Amino acid sequence: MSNRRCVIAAALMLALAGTLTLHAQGGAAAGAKPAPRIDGRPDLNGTWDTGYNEIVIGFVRPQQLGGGSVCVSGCPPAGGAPRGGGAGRAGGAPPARDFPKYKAEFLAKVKDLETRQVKEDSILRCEPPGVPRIGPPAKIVQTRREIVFFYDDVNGGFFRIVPIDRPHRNDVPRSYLGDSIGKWEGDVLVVDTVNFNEDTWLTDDGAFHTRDLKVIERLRRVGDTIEYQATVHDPAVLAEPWSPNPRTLKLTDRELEESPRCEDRSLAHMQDLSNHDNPR
Amino acid sequence: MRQSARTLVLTVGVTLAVATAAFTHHSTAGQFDMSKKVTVTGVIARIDWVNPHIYLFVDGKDESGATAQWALETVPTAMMRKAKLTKETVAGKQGETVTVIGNPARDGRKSAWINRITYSDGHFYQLSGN
Repeated sequence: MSNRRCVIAAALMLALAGTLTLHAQGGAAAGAKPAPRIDGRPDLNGTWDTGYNEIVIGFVRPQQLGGGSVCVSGCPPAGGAPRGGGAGRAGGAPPARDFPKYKAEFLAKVKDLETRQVKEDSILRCEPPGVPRIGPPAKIVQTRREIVFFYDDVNGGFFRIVPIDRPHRNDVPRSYLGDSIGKWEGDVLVVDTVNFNEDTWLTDDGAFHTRDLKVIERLRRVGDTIEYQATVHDPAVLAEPWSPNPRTLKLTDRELEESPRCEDRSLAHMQDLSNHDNPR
Repeated sequence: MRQSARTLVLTVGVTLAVATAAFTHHSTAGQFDMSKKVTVTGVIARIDWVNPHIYLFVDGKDESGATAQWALETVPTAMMRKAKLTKETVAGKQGETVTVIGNPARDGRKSAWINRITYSDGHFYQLSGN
């Protein structure tokens, strides 16, 4: 076979493989309810169950005990179920640690911050969690010009405004949630966020970042769900970009409520450095 | 029994019983002694429905008979919401006597991590531990 024929054959095989791959990727979506559209784009409007409550309090299995009594936590076993109140996560072994990979010269700093997180982690002082630690949005309001993300977090209700097809601002101070801009790549909303302060962590356990942190989030609607993936870029300290576990948001009829205020009154009374996870 | 906060006779007892299944919340253990129990009987003066932990302020007397206000700490609001408990249901009736069992603060403050709160008619909310 001549070189030219080889090239043509290879191109045909690649095209076939690409077609099969796209078909396979579309398979799940094809079985799902078609995503509604607005202004020619996928409609991301709505209130979305991010799985936050399941992550944070999935282990809580309240029991109605009769006579108006209720067991919220520390309940007696019911039907062979494990005791509530201590597991931290629902069922099974804990998932593998989802943590960024730091350059070797920063591992000691991460370890030190992890050890002293009761004193160093700003979310324990009720400050905004930062991105991507705050997780996916619980509500999205979408217009042609901008998209607004709303969050229902234990630290309070937060929002981010994401202008579409506009440059980053250079007239705003650094902040916990940064400066976001968005664009559509086909049917995927891509959100680019920079201009963070250095008061937040990427996740628990000392995952610090620099002021040059850049976070890219990708949101794709599939039926009544949104596939959400964030990727963290901070090459000064990270050995490679870090993508936390992807999340699937589910459309819900439950509207957000006003978040109770967050007010730490415990840290001043801590007698040691013991701590627990603060997942989002 | 319904009494006003002013006239209520309040008792506070400390039991050094070992908690058999304390809520293993590490930061909670950093602040409260999970191996000890305290029992506070009094009237809820105020509830702060805040995150990350809700606070009940109960007017009581300590063992010397002096009136004191106990700051009793408990679970996040989301856990109460999941159990369909609200600020109003936890507050009980106006001036109602409640008995709270909890783990006392390690620094000696009039504070505890609530295990159970029991109301005058006998119904209770188990919030942690036994």
